[in-house]
Amino acid sequence: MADPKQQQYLSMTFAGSTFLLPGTTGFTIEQRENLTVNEDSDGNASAWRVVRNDRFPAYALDGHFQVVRRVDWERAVFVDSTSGSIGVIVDDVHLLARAQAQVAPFTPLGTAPTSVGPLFGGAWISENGVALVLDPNALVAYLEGLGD
Amino acid sequence: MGRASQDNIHTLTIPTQIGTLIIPSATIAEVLNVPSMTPIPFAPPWVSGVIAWRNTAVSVVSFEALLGTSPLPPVSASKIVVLYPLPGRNRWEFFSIMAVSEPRPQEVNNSAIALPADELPQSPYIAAGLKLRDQPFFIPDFEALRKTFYPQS
Repeated sequence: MADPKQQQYLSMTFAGSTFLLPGTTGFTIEQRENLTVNEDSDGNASAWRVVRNDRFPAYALDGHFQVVRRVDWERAVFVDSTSGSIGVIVDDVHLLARAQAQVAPFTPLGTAPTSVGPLFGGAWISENGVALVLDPNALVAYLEGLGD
Repeated sequence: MGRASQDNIHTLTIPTQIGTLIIPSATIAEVLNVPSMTPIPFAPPWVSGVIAWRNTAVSVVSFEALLGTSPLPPVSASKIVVLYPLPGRNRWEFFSIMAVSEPRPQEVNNSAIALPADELPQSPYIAAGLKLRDQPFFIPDFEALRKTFYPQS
């Protein structure tokens, strides 16, 4: 991860929790109407972004990053990956001004949940408390493990 | 300075639900009231969350959960004891322990009696124990904590 103090961050809120994504990460914000919603109650994906002959899933997550199925959503953030992109459904998403995000390095304790390491690599300290900064590679690795 | 005072070790006693921990004061950065705590997805059960402290994010460790019991949520008397990073760790890697009430300073000298093994909690995270004025105190095993906190390194 680049020097966290020099970066811009994307703020993503879902399930009442806010997480930051480094602005150097490739991402696309898609509106629900541009996605193919999973009408089947089975499966983990809530929707797919269809690009030519490929489709890339988007997942609704709870505050513990467990998959939930929900109907009341309007947009998803798709993070670029080596296989295309993979998405998270969000309630709010906006870019934080560079000066606004004072991000400190942070090492989560315990065993990392993904093969590429911890899900979080920093923390934004504000008057509202702590918002964790996602490691894009770990986020992609985690989401790719969820399947359709 | 006499020999007796040279042998005194300044410590802080930290009350928890599994007993009172005793830790050298030099390892402790600050004691504070419990601020707002952010949960950490995928954190082990012994991490209660993360707090903002001096522009740093500090994990809060439940010693109760480390020792296999369920921690109670913080109460008004609870305190957060922030400890300096463990040896070999980065300078920002402070961590903290939740205390159920106000920690107290305690000087320890050679009059302290070592607790026998059968009076210690059966846990790799307790290195030893002391009895002071008939009260037991448990000394954390910082090397065991380091291995559990940072298993990848």
